[in-house]
This record gives sequence, C-alpha cells and structure tokens, in this order.
Amino acid sequence: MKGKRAAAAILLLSAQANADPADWSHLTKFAGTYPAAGLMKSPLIKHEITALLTPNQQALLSEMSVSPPISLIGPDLLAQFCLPHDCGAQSAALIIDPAAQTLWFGFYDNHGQTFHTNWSATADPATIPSAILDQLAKIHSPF
Amino acid sequence: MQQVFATIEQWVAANNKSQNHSNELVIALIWKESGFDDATKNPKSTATGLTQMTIPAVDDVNRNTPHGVHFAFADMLDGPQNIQCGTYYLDMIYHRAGGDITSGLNRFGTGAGYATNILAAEKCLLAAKGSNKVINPAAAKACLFNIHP
Repeated sequence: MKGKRAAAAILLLSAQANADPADWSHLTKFAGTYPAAGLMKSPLIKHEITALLTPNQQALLSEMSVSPPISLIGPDLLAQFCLPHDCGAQSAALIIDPAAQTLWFGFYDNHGQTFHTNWSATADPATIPSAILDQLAKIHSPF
Repeated sequence: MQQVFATIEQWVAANNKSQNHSNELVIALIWKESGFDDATKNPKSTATGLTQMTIPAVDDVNRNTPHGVHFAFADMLDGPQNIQCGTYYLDMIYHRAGGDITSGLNRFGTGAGYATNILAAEKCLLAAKGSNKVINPAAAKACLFNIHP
C-alpha cells in the first residue's frame, strides 16, 4: 500500500515538473489574492521578471511591498505594488494576459507636475487593453 | 478596493477620533500610506488598510483607548474602522511626542522628514475648502500630488 502511494506521489510530482511551461492559464487562480501570497512566488512569473526587469528595477519592486489583492479585469490580471509610506506617488503595475502569454510591467512615478511610466513588457505597451489602462488611470488619480 | 477622494473625505469626517489632527491632515496621511485603497497590505510589516496599521499598533490602541473601544486586526480592512483606529493611534503618539505634531507624525511614519509633505498638503487642503466646507476634488488632487519623494 505504501509502495503504491509513493509511486502515485512520484507520478504526481513528475507530472507537475513536466507541466507545459508555456501554459499561463493557471495564473488566473491568483485573482483576488495578494501578489506576495502566490503570484510573485510562481516560477513562471519569477522567470519572466528576471528576464524582463533590470537588477535596479527588481530591487525597486522588492521594496514595493504594499499591495491590494490582484484584480481580474476581463480576461487579464492586474497586480499593483507601491512603496510603503509613499503609496500615492510611486507604484508599479503588473498586467498579465494569460491567453496571449503576455506580460507588461510598468513603474509609475508622480512628481506633482510631471508623470512617468516606464514599461518593460513582452509586447508593445500600446497594446495594453483599454479596460486596464482605464483602471490604472482611476488608481493613479482617484479624484 | 480603491476609493475616490469624496468617499475618503466623508469617511474621515465621520470617523476621525483625533483631538489634535485635522481631517485634512488625516486625508493627506491616508493618500501617502495607501493611495486611498482600503484593501492594501504590506506582508513585510503587517501594515494594513488606509492608514497602514500594524498588529503592534492596533494592540497599542486597544491597550490605551477608553473602555468599550476595541479593534480586531481584521477590522483594519474596513475603511471607517481603520480611520478610527489610526486616528486614535495618531493622538497617542502625539502625546508621547510631547504634544508635537511633527514629531508625532514622524514616529507614525519613517522618522525625520515624514511629516513635512503631509503638513504641507494639510495646509493646501484647508485653503482649498469652499464655503460649503467641501474640498473640490480637482483642488484636492493638486494638493495631494505634491506628496512625493
């Protein structure tokens, strides 16, 4: 009996290890959870972030430890991050389109009179869905 | 969830328990701490909600507030309760700082310099108040967008 259970466990682990790395559909399960609780621990997202962001950006992201739960906007995920004690002025947004296996990362900076968003992405930032951009505008300026 | 300025303004007016900090100061602090999102959490520090109250801070409030006033840490995800607890806490550290607003705020946040742009935004918001005691959202935006590193 023990042998059968061990074999089943090995098969399960093997199946997980051989899961299609290109399959992003499982990421939608993180909707409604906090980014640090699961999404940012996902090997897929860790790999993409390492490939996409500079070391300085990765360091800044790790400082941005304040987040609301991840939103599902249409088919896309939106995770937000901001700096402790400077949440209104500096933030980052991670947008994931699981179906297209596309990811956009934007660092937003509000200096009062000037505004900057520095995008790093696997697709042109001009193709970010308009519903996501509308939501980001409301987050950046809830007035 | 992300709240708009008018909601935060109403919640603060109804829930500010501080005897020493204006509603405008509390609004500026909330913008700096959470960007008006009442669901924010910082897993590194346990800071939660609009004023980013931590577990030790909530415990401190519960030890020092009048009989019958008690907050569960889970309440910190509720905007109005977070404001009540956070403003009780602001008053506590104000008194511990010898009645000095700047020192008290610095203790609430990151130390020296934390209070500077909050106090500037408070002054700006007070000046923007109309005769009906309501702050025009566009004017509020101009005041709060000056809170940046």
